[in-house]
Amino acid sequence: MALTSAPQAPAIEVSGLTKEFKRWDDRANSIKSLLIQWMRFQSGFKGAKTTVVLNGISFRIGSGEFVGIMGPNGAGKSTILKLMSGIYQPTSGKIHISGQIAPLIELGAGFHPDLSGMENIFLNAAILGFGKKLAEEKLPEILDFAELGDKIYMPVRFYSNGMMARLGFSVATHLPAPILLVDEILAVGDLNFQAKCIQKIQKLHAEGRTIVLVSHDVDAIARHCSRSIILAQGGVHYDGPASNAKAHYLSALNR
Amino acid sequence: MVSFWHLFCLHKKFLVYNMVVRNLKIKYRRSMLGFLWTLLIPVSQAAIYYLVFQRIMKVQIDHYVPFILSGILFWVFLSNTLNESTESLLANCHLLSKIPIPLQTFPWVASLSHGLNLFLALPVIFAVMLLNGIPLRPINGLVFGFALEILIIAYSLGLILSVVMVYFRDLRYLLNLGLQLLMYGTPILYEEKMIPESFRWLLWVNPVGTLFPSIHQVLIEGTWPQPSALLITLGWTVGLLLLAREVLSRALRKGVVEWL
Repeated sequence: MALTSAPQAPAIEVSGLTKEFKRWDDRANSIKSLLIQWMRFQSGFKGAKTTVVLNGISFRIGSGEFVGIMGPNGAGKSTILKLMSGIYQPTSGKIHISGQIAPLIELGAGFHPDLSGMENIFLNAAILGFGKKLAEEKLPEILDFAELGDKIYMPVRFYSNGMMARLGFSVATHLPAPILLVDEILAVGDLNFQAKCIQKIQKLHAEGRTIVLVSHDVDAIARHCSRSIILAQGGVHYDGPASNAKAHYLSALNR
Repeated sequence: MVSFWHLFCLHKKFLVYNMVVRNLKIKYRRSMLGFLWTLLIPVSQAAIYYLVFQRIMKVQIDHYVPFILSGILFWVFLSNTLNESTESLLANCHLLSKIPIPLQTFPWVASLSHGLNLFLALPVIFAVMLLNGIPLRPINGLVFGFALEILIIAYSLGLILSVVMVYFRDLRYLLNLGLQLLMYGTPILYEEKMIPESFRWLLWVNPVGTLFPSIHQVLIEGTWPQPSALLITLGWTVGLLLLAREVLSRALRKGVVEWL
């Protein structure tokens, strides 16, 4: 499917985005402790501790770009993916997404071990946001890519991890959304499968889709992405060609 | 504010359909007797209550078997749905924290799956009534309306409890206690008229306090319930639904998913 859109129209626009998580260490987390607090006439809230994960960051990702997001642990890579997919709301600032998102964040989300691969395709597709018509229309392609043959009628509890990942990847990549969010999923499966996944993602990129990939694998990002964004300490540490990202990534790690 | 369209997940019909189908398939897959199997527990519960209350304690209620069975089937629906819904957000946190799914989907799917069992069980009540010598009358059809009301009550309460559960995890222990209180505080095993006049108000502060007597009246007596009883039940249904909508809207605003 070819998506026709101007190459530089922003697919994702992040401006002044801040995300804080609040933590109440002294807040009652059970009804029992709430009652005890009341009985001792304590007010539960002595003030929240705030962790700022993203602090006023801004960037634009143009339609059709292939961007790798890197950063040390806790730099906010997963948080920004969750903000992009709408699971989290920004504390302040804006994030604007034009078009539907295909989340390749957890492969085989919602697979039920007692159902067959075929039954799970529909369940998984529905969870990812397919409608009925689309799921039926894409079924042949999904089956074709998953290469499970007759095993598609077997309950997935008998699948190997690789087979499960193949099926999950196949469903997720057949959602015709203009934006793909990919989180570390390339670490699953054997080398053949990884190569096939990368190939598929590159094919989708060639069709004009926007791809945002989160990974720790500097070399993979340098190889596949055109641009890299490195997050560190709540800000954008580097934003530029992926080929130069390695040195910046190492400096972000050592800071 | 969440719209009613979204509250009932009507924008996610394919998702809800597939998740309900999954639940039913898993329940019924192993045997063709699946449906009878889900009936077995309420039916044996009804049998126990029949033995204890009618045979041993000699409670004076006519047509005690259809009386107890209809009450138990509605009650089992409510308690199963509340138990499952309350845990549903925590149980699905791996999905909710990774994929954008409306969180009300989980309590709604739990309510619909159990609700389907309830609707399928209603003909069984009619059969037991016939066996017990109660003629079927058009007024009996009102129980389908009552089933719809209890479905909405169960969904609303389940949605509220599932959100509270995210913040207060010991709710599950209190829920068990609460369900026991509710069961004995509702005329399920006994008749409404056995309650002393000075305690009748208890039925009005109980979301299903007037619903169960209405079910019994429509099925066993075959007459219209008191308009006041119908109105109170309707008031609870609508009130809880509005409250659930408010709780959901606030939970989404406050980012409940971040607490999972």
